[in-house]
Amino acid sequence: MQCDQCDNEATVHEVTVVGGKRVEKHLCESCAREQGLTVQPNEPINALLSKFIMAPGLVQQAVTGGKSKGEPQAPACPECSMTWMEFRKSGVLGCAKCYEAFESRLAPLIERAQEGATHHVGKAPRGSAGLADHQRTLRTLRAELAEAIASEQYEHAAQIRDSISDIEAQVEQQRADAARRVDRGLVGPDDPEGVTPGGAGEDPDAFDEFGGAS
Amino acid sequence: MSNELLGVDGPEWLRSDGADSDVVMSSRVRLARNIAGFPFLSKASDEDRRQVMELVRERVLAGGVAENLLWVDVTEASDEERHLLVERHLISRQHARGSGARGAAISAPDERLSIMVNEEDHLRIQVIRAGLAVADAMTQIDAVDDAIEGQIGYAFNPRFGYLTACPTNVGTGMRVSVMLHLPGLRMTGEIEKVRRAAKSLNLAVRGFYGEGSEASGDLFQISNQTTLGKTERRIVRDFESAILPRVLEYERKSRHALLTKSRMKIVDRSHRALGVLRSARLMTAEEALKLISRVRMGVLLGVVEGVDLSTLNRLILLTQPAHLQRAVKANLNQAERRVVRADLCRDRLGGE
Ligand SMILES: [Zn+2]
Ligand SMILES: [Zn+2]
Repeated sequence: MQCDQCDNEATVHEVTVVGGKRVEKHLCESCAREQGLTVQPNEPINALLSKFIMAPGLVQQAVTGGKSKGEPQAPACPECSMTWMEFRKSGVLGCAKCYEAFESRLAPLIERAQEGATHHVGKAPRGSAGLADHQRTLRTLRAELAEAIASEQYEHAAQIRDSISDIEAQVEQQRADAARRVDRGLVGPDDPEGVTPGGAGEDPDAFDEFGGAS
Repeated sequence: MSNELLGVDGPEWLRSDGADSDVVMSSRVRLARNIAGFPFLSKASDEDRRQVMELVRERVLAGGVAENLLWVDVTEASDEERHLLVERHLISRQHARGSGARGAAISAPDERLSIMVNEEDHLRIQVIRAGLAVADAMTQIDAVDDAIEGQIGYAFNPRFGYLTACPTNVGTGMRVSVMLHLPGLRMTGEIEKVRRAAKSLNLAVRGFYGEGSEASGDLFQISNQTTLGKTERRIVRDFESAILPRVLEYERKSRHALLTKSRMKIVDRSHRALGVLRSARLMTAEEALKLISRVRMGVLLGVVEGVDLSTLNRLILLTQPAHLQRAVKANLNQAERRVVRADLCRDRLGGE
């Protein structure tokens, strides 16, 4: 393929989605370098993305479509207090809630890294939403317990311990119930409601055609 | 570390009887998962890390996720043990070098399955198989993933799927890769075409030890980069059909073309390599890999006899630094390793 700018062979290919339209660029090394697109051969996508995140102009463009510069600071994640600046430096998020807190800023980055894909269509957890809530509570209680013991508040510690065992018993019950539902076939690959809480079931045979495929 | 682990026969993925094993050394599928209710590792306290470890140990090891899973506390492991695990592709370099409470659950004795705990994500689940077996590896990891999910709730969101610390892994959280032995394409100089083709298909090409490592001994790793917007099955199918059949075909054609056009050169090259492996007294890791690769090509083309593939595959692993140290049960400096490595090659390949 020929370079968009000159007669050389195009070796750098980039696909971006701008305003919902797919824009392709095919450039030779030197033209790509001029446009600031050149990358090390084999540079892993993580490194690419972190470069992209680090380049403030690009992030602005991705977030605002390149129009306004004075975008207000996004508030920190309410759950883990990660800020957008912090993420830009490290390239890793602080918790699951960060995805909601920074959704509008993350979406274009993810789209770019994922060949224009915007939504998950693969498998989804089945029937563990309740487990997640309990895990959150248990985590907090165990931290409180450690603190109570450290500050020698043994009575308080005992109360916390009781709450922990109550919740653990509930979790146990829930896991047993879930196992029984699976055994009775109430939740399984054939049950779209069980498989896809996120409405992700566009490919219903996503996971079961593999037997002896290779 | 348990003796059940890291047996001298080596992990199952080194076997030479997998599908297309003349070109494909091994296939690997990896899933990134985080546990709901806990912050990701960049925001996790020491207490969080400890709790994650406990939760996984308790639920995964006891929960019938896989038979005979062994637990390795990576924090407590010695330097040498951590290196052994890295060389066997059971944990990443990042995990070995990391800090804070972290561990790994490994299936013994096959070492097919490993689950890193508190790496970049709470869980990194991996299945490795010998030869071209991406679909099989994926079926197995899917079952393991389901079993864990029955015990532990995952961080998930309807739009972005499985939530990962680095947003480039979201969606399925799944990476698929194969380790390829491509001496033919390397010799004919066509390897660059493969790199370019892979890149344009949004696949990554790396060396034997992954990110940042040089391709040595003609071993290359190709992996998918896209984790969102496709089902797991589609990712595997695209990966298997995008480039692999052509790479396999080109590699085989190059090998045979080389043999037809310059038979004596190939015969000489592989026997010369075997000769050095059978008689050298000092050997660097780099040189060992290069020579093993040449002999392997000779064996596959039928111009070297009396050396079996599984011995060569195993040597690739056994000539790595931590494995050498374990073999002689002593700490070795670089110069000493060269001596021991040369001894080992002579011993395994019937040298004098
Ligand atoms: Zn150009
Ligand atoms: Zn957060």
